Amino acid sequence: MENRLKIVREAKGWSQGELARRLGVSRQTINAVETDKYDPSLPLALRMAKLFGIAVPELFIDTWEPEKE
Amino acid sequence: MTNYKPPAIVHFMMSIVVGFAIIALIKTFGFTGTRTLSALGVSATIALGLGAVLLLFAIMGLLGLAAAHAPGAAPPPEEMDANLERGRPRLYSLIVIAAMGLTLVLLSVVGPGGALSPTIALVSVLVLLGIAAGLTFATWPLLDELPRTMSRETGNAAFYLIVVIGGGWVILAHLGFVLAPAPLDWLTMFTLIMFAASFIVVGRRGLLQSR
Repeated sequence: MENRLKIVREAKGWSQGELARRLGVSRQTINAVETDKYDPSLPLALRMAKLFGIAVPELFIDTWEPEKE
Repeated sequence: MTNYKPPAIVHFMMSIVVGFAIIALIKTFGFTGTRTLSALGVSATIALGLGAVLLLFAIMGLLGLAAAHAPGAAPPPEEMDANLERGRPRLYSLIVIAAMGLTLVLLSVVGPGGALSPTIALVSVLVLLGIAAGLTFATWPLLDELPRTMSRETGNAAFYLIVVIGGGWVILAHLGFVLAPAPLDWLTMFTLIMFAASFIVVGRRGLLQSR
């Protein structure tokens, strides 16, 4: 799933290691999320959004649309 | 100077080549003190080869880990962070790999005329498997959600590979087309498939290259 994690992280001036430390995960996990190799769990996505003060859909872009009735 | 590090698969392939080359040399020339090796059957030879490969892979990994943590080593800061955060889980997993490799090596040289008595081999293998199990449990709390997810995916992939490969083999054996797998073949197969599954899972995520 596409995401804007790298953009918002860099806007804060944080390294991957710094973000990993704040979220309590490994730098490898942050790197994998940023490069679209891993979709984080819902709790981690919520923590990321909370840390940056934005909503989850602003951080993770889902192009799916519900069927119109 | 480039910071390029070869992917783990390159280390593994090198270990395979070196491991099997050593076994081939021993079997061909029957070096002093290893005469029993030249009398090994197919199952034992393959188990010994895989065991040697895993031992070599673990030794190479441990040497790399030691070099990264050596007092004089000065990797880039980001890499230093990665070394610190993954150092202990990596150390544990390399010891587990070495234990599994040694288990296969020990079991391959047991039997009539073998280098080890079954009792000594059983005790040794139980100790090795105990170490492997203990370290596996100790590693789990050190992992965050990405490696835990990959570990679960590896378990799933290994299960299906066992069903297809092991299951396929015994179906053919039951029907009389091939010989049934020997007990040691099952152990070799479990070990090989587990590693194959882990490479498949890590490779599918594009994470084989060290970062």
